[in-house]
Amino acid sequence: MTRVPQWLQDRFPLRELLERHVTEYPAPRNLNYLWSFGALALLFLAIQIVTGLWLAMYYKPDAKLAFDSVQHIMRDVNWGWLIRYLHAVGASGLFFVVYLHVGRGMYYGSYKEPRELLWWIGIALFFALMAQAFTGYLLPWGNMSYWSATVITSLFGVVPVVGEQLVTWLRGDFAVGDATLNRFFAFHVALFPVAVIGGLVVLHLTALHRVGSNNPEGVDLDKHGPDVIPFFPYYVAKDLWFAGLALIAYFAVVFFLPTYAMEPLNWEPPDLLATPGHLVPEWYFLPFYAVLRSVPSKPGGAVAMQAAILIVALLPYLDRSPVRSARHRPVKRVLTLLFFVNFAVLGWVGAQPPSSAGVLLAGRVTTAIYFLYFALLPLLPRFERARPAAKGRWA
Amino acid sequence: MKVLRALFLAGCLYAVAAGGAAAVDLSPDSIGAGRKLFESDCSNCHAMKYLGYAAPLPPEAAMKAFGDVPPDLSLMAAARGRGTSGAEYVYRLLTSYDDTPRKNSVFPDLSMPEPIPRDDPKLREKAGQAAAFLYQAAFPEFRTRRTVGTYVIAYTALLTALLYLLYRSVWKGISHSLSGKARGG
Repeated sequence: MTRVPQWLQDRFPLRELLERHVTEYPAPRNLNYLWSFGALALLFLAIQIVTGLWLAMYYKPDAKLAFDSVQHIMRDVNWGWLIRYLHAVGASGLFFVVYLHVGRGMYYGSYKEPRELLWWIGIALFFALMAQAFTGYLLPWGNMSYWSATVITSLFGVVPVVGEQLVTWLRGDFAVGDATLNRFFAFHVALFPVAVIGGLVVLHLTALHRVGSNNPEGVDLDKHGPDVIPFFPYYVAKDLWFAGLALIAYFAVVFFLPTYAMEPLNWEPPDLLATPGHLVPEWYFLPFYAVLRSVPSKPGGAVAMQAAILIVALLPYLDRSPVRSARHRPVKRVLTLLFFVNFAVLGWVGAQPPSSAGVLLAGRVTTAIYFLYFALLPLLPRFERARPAAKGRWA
Repeated sequence: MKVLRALFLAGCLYAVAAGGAAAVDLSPDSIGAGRKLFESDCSNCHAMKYLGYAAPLPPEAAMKAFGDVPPDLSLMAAARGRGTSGAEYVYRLLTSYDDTPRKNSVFPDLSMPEPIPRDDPKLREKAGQAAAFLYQAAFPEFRTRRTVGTYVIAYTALLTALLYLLYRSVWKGISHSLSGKARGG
């Protein structure tokens, strides 16, 4: 019986891989539940891939057939409605856990040396997920799908000189249409999930396992010392039960409130003649949409929206304090918590019709606060007194 | 973590309250009556392509008669609001016709003539039934979904409880805090 595993072992480092990445990966013993959101992101990604595979078997990426094929899935395909709701709500679930995962990294300084590259791969992953969500949102070919794709692709028109050609190239036509649907489908089911997201996840985990997990105290731990425990069984057991909890919340939405993760307007086929009065992106894009709208010029808004994400990549350099965890930095702690609240308010602003002056003002103020956080970070070490070295754990 | 937990609970409560406040009776009787109403009245102008009710009028004729093409109603209850609020929208629309010059005080300038006469003593009942039928048309899976969902969540809760016990037993005797011997960083 041992011959087959041995044959394999002589030709492929299966045991080493498992030891390195699961059974003997040393993890800090003091991780709190916020550290489980990385594993949850992987869980939701797996759910998206499996449900997406089944949807792709019945879906028709053709402007004449797409909308009806979604209803075919909802009405005629056995358990089709379940697969579709799992996929639609799963996208929200994935973004929800990713936001908490990123927020945890910001709060506990997980982007600091030696985890800068890990952080950047994560931001590339976030961009890839946005592209994945955006291309997927066109596929139901509803009214909101159509107009969101029209508005977002038109943003590329602000690129100097080649803007107009770029928009046409992206759409495959002068307006969003059948060609756009076909290419978005190809990107959504082949390129992004397999090559881009899959590849980046492998890079993200590989980099993580080189530098090790940060922890709530933000201190370096000896990989062979008493403060680390093997990932298996300790964190596998912990992440598993926490995943059960997450699944309960997820299933509650899937089975009882699925339409709360979907836009009503998208249950109507595209009306090519009239832009919907109030265009709203999915909730997970709302904060960045609010930034886009808060800048008076279209090119300025598009640049600000990109900058809002890219500036997060600069955190390893903007945050100059030697102390990682906000737990030991009273000023960064308060600022970061305020940043999170402000981010939620930005999301609320993004969901409001932009017509009122109050909403416009709120958008400008929250956008300013968003960027102000990154401007203040480099100045903090000048006056902030980090709590004296919790039990002398850092120099 | 405490704040997150409180936010999550508040979100759940709100969702349950919003989802449960159904003004439209979704019982099979009400939906059945709504279907009859659709077949006898609504289907004179409206199609429901996903339920096999074809449009009775060519679009040009409808345009001539009403100045508008009567929309397909298959997904109307989904397209006018999340959860049951789309069905409630239909109910409000059907019960808000009046004598004002714009015909309907809640949804002014509708092309659709009064579908249920406002002096019909059963106006509210009929409107509710029509709305219930439109809800069923848009979400044909809703009853199965709720039943299956209850079992799925009960099963997942049981599984989670077992996994929690497993987690507690695996971590028995393992401290969650650092020993104090960590290096500086």
